[in-house]
Amino acid sequence: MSDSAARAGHAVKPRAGLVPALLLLAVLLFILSLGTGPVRLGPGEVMAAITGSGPAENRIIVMEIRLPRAILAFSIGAMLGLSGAAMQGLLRNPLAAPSLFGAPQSAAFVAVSMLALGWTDALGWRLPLAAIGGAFLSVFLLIAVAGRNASLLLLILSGLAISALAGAGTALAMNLAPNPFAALEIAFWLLGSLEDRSLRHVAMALPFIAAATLLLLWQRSAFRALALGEEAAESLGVDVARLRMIVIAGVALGVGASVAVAGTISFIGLVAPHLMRPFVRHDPARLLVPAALTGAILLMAADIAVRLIPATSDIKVGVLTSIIGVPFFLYLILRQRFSLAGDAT
Amino acid sequence: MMPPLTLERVGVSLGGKTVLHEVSLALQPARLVALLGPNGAGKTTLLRAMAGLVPATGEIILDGTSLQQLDRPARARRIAYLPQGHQVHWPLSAREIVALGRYPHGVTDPTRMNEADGLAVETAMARTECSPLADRAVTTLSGGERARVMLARVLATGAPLILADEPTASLDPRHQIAVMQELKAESRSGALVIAVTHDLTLASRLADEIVLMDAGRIVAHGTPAEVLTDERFAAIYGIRVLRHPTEDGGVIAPWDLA
Repeated sequence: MSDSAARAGHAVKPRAGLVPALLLLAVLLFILSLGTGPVRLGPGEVMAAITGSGPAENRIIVMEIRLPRAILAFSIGAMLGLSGAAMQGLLRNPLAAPSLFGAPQSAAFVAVSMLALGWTDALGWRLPLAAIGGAFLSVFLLIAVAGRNASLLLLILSGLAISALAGAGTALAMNLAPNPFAALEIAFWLLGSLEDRSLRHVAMALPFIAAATLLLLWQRSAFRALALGEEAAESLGVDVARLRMIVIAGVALGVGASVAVAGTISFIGLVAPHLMRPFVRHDPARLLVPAALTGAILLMAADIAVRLIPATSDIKVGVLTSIIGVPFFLYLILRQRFSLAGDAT
Repeated sequence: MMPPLTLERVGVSLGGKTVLHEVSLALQPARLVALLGPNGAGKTTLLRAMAGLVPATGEIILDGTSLQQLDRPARARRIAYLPQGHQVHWPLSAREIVALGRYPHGVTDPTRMNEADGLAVETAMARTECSPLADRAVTTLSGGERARVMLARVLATGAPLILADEPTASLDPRHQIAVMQELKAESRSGALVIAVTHDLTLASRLADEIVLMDAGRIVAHGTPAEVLTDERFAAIYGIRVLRHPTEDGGVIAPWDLA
């Protein structure tokens, strides 16, 4: 007995190099993102522009046009991956997505209403603030409808209702748009894009995303206890009702801010946690950080791809993530279906 | 010795319906107590109230401290709760599941346990014979293996009060006996173990005390011989039983409707 006890300390190790490897890949994509566009720049030229040497036009291209875009792709992708992992941990379901409780839809609805009313243009500073307000509103609405200590089922149903309401509102706003240009502006904004964003957009979204990240990582070990179900987790000392509120608020804050500056970008939150799960031995707590980094990698890669794909008009990154994401979602469902026979998960 | 667990007029209402009617009970340490009663008698509710999982009126006093005064981690260190069903939602390894038993002691990462926590986990796994399963995903284990892992998780906490809700349900006869014997052994090392069961023979043979419930009330509390009478089987369960005496409590088999 005593010798087996001695082994306890170094029991199940996660793959030690996973997070550094993902970080390295993210950094490489970040530099690649700064170099990709109508004017192609090599890594050396990019580094020169960042450090302040090199030609002035390169510095402007990198620092003022591409840097905001790369920062947003990294942070929004990370936020979506982290939110997806947290939602899946909370719901103990690999098919849960950050949009489940209606925060991104509500953020989009409020933003679209602003556009339709002509109160702001698609790249104005009022739009993100209004969208973040919309995400907050969805949380208040969710708690008002479902109650503070609501069960998951009630929360999911309420989230469904709020999403549907926000979707209907969005449709109405487009319907009532004063002119076809406004409707087109709304439609394009909804597709999700990181083009032409400035450092002001970064400054608006980043504080919320940072706060949401801290909120979602704060109670991460509770997700492992939740693997035993809510009642057993509660008996282990986890405040499950509070954890639910933390996740709902964190996701609304982070994803709301993401939608606010980039429109709706789907499926990253679903795909990123799933890709990382085998590497962390399915541990929902250890999953959070790798899922965030994978989300960042996926969105940066997609945002580089839309700049490289030859097309008559530019493809929006939200469209690309959906086109790649939907088949992946179907694959997940099919795998779930065929594994039901043997595997309880 | 002071009773480690005292319930004073503990009541629970769920959805406007009273499911537990002011139950009072005092239990001694180092005992295995079987909680018996028909379906819907309030056994699980009583267990959940004792674990602090449902809002209850009255007072539950644990080692001189009211349950309401304990914060969550302190309560979780004193009360280990084994729910019905043994569900696990992710294919975590058996050792990671057992290590969750140390969660109330501050183990938030099973790969970084100190010596005491590691020892508690390995001891619990050795006692329930699930050390060979340590690195296997719990979702790939058989029902009996999974029940042992869940029991090890509860034992690893080292709590003075263990609440087990039908720990032998859906287990084969060998595992039913093994699990109950392990709970008995845990009581012999000082813990108060309360187990809900429908197995009359195992209850009568292994339990030190029986608490019999019906319709949200405790109707009898005493030794198996005192509580498990033919009259009570007829009145509470509506059944006749067949008995075969042995030196340690005897076989009690449900035989027919009364």
